[in-house]
Parts: sequence; structure tokens; C-alpha cells
Amino acid sequence: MRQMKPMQRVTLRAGRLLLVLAVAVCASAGTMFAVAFGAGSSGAQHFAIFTGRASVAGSGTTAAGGIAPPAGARLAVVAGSNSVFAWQPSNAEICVVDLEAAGIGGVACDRTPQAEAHGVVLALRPGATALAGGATLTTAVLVPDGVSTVSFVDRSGSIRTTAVENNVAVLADAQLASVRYSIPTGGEFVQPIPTSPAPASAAPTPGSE
Amino acid sequence: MSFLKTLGRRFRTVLLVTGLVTSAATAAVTVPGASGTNLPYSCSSCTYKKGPTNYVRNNEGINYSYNGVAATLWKSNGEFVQEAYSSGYKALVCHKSGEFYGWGDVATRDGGSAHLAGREDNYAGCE
Repeated sequence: MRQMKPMQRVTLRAGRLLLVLAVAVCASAGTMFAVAFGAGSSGAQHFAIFTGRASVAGSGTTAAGGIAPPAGARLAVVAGSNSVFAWQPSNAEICVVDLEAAGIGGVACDRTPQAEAHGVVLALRPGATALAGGATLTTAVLVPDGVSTVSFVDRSGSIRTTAVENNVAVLADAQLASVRYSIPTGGEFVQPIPTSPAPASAAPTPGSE
Repeated sequence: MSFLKTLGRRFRTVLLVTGLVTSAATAAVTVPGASGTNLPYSCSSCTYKKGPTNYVRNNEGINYSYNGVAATLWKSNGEFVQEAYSSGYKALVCHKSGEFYGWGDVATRDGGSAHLAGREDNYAGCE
């Protein structure tokens, strides 16, 4: 075997060190990515609607008004003209979808760990045309297993408590001020509902984009 | 010589026609029509960001500070169309009745500045 010069040995050692460092950095980055984006956490075990333990109509169901929900969304509740779905587009996020017969719809998503901890709230506010078609401010809440009721508080302070069905509670109330419910890990989750489109003072200003 | 001149004139004409046809074809492909809106917009630190005006149907808003977000649709005459408010990091508002000429915007709802990103499109799906 040919004798290595000292300089060659140093270079070889430096190369090996760099390789080890690169592997370590890649492993750390992968772990951080997995933690940040919820890889490995399906979220399904916290929401019966995703596991089939709840009674659901199945995915791909057409909502009121003939509106098709996102692929894979699971119908949880039909309340009046609203069809509310639970949807997990990826392991990283969990969403609640509300499609109204008046031809409007909305989706709210949170990262999976947050959704598992306290659920996701969606407030869908219609404009004048949809209002004339019978739509109103509708708030849909996707809650984790263990939450049995959700309280809706309106601007006069009156409270309506609604039973959770298939991990979802929904209420159509133009005067809704907040949503609150006890979460399985302890404590109460309170979500204020905005009173007007945001930010009312900034719209409309054509040409300011 | 006369033959060569005629040939040169014909070659120039063919070249001109080819150029015009190519330009028209390129313009037709490049200029976005009403059927192909897909417009991202964002700000690195703001409480509100307005998207460009175009033919829109859906508007998605993301708050990378994860403190709640609202995505709204407006007609170009300033008429409020609809808003989706999310307690999470993402909100999507979809106008299933069809596209219209207007814009979307995205806003934080806690008053704080955030890295906001939005995307307008006129696709049929609400996803």
C-alpha cells in the first residue's frame, strides 16, 4: 500500500469530518421539519370523524345547493342551508369546511397539533347578494373528541349551547360575538368573532394593490 | 437579377407573415385570460394585504404568525362579497356562484403585524 503523505491524511480526515457533520445536520433538519409540520401525527386519533368511529355520510358528498366539497372532506353536519365538513388535506393540517346553498363557502385550517389541542373555528360572513339569498353569518367549529358542547355568545350576551355532532357544532347567528368551550386537556378555549369584514376601513381602495 | 429580386421580395413577405403569426401566438399564450387567474400576493410584515384586481372566485389567506386570519372577496366596485375568518393559520373563501371581476385580501384579526400571504384564483374547486 502506498504511504500517505501527512497533507493527504489531514485532507482525508477533514473530508470524513465534513461527511459526519453533513449527516448530522440533515438528520437534525429532518427531525425539526417533522416536528414543525406534524409529520407522523395523523390527527385522526383526536377526531372520531376521521376514523370512521363517528356516523358520517362519507367523503365526496355533495353539499346543499349542489356544491361539491374538497376531495376527502367528510360530511359532519347539515344545518339549514349549511353543510359542514371535517377535512384533513395532509398530516400537517386539519380543516373545517362550510358550504352554503346560497353559493358561498369557506375553509379554516390550523396546524395539526393546535387543531388537536383546541379545534378550529370558521366564521363565514356573506355579502349583500348572499344575504338576499338567505345566507347569514354562520360559525362552524371543529372540536376534538371529548368536547360535547359548544357555547355561542351573541352581542346581547345571551348564550346558546349546542351539542357537538361528529366533532362539529354550527350556528347561524348574525349577531354572534364569540365561541367558547372546554377543551379535553383542561381550560376553556374562547374565540371572538369579528363584527365586520376586515379591515373595514381599508376597503375598498381600488388601485392600492 | 430580376428573378433574384422577386425571390428576395417573396422571402421577405414569408418572413414577415411568419413573424406576425408567431407574435400573435405568443401573445395569445402569454396574456392571461379570464379563465386562468392564479395570483399570489404577500407582505413580510403587515396587518392587511390587498390582492390584485382580476377575475376571481376563490381567495386564500395565510398568517405565518399563526394568530388567526381572515380572507375576503370584494367586487371591483367595492361591494363586499364574503369573508371567511379562521381561528387557525389559514382561511379560504370560495364564491361558488362563479367568477367575478374584483379582488381578494388577507388580514390579521388580532391587530398585530404578521407575514401574510394570499392567493386569488378562479378555479371551480373550494380547496
